[in-house]
Amino acid sequence: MGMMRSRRAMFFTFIAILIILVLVTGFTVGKRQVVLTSQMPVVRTRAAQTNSYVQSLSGSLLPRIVQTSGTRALMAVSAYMNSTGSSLSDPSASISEVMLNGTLGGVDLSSLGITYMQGNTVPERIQEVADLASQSQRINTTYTTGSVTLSQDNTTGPWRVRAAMNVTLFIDARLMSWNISAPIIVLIPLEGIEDPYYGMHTNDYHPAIRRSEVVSGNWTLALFEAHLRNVTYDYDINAPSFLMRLSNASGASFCCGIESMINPADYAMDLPSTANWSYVDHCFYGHQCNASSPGDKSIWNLSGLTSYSPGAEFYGFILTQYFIGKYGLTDYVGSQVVREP
Amino acid sequence: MRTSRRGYFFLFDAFLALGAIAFGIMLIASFRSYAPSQVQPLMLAEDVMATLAGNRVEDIANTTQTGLYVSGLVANGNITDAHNTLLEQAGEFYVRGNRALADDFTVNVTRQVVPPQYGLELHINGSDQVVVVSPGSVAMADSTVLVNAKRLVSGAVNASTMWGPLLMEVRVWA
Repeated sequence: MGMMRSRRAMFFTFIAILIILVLVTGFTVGKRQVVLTSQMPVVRTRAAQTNSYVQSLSGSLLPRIVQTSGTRALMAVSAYMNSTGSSLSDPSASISEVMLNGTLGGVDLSSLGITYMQGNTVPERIQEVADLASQSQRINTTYTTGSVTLSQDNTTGPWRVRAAMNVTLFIDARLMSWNISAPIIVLIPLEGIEDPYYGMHTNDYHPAIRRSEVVSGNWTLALFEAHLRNVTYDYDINAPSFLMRLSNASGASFCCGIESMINPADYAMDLPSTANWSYVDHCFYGHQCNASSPGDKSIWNLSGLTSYSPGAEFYGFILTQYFIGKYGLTDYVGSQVVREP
Repeated sequence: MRTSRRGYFFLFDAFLALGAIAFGIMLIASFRSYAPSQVQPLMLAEDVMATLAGNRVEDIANTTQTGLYVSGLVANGNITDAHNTLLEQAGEFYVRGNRALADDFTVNVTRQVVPPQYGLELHINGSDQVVVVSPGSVAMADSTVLVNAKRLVSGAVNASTMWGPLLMEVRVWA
């Protein structure tokens, strides 16, 4: 009898252990492992660091490289045009060549004394980043760059140029690799870059582009005089954009036209006192002014501004009716000089 | 009837024994509970780096103490481009040779997000400049966990002169 009781006790104990095992197994099997308790796997850490590198490369470093290289390419091209007096037939392609190779038409710009691109081409800058990543994080970066496209439109406005290029990256972190194509689009501010349009038409006079402080067309004679003296620029739908200026075009850019007034005092050259065109850069050098637009094209001098003493400030300064109206100078219209051809 | 009661007794006894064993295991395991996890410092390092690299100077509200400090730097001309990220700004101070300001700026924008038990340093350009944001509850040399997060940064002066790339590294220990 006692033997039987002992066996039953063992049986009940066995049943209890079995039930607990079933419960524990039931709560354990099929559950996802969340790695937060003790340590993060090395692979995941490596992936996080490489992913961070890829993100900063495509989101920050490459845009910065394209923007600074693009700005310097514009400065280099402007310097080239100022020194040679030649224009670019395809500004976008030329600037792309400068940004990628530091050459223009196959000629190394540094051999012409233009050193803006030395160590600043896009491939040179990307290689610097790749070298540092290899040295500090043992991440190998290989890349190919496409050509750069420059454009201006309503989004950029007249004071910036959009530069777009495609960079294909292969990032090898040994345990894993990334193969990505990164479209890089940046806006390059134009203020501070010398206007090559002047350089092509004058003897070593090339003002930097600076935006007029007058907004909403609230011009006065004093503000206009300052605009003239300081060679600042204003938006105008009949003026050429910066990119058009690179190809010596004097036509109109509705979105992005910019113009400055020609201040005879800034020139070491003889300006005719009775020119046939307004003293607005694209009119004066383009020998046309609003040519395709109908309206009054008579040219006037301005009382209280125009001087006829050679060498004096505002010597021979004249404008068409369009600009007199635009710059709020109707109260200062003097006498009619000549009619634009 | 008596046999059946004994069965219940043994069943209860078995549960009790297993409970005692489980409690013992938990007690033994709890002796190691002070050991710092490697994950939390790593998360902290990555989060601090993401915060510095993801927020711009202009994003910091000027109503907080940090915001007022940053606004002051903008107002007095020490910060010239509010579009810089916080990490780029620290790098720019370093590149301009203003190391004291790089140190002060980093500590001010980072200190509030670091729990005091963790030590945190920002290493600029490798370890050319080390900014101690938080000394932590233990010295780095005595720590059992030391992790880092790295990022490359660059910046520009007047949109035409690029500086960098610089290696920036956040080190966290506990």
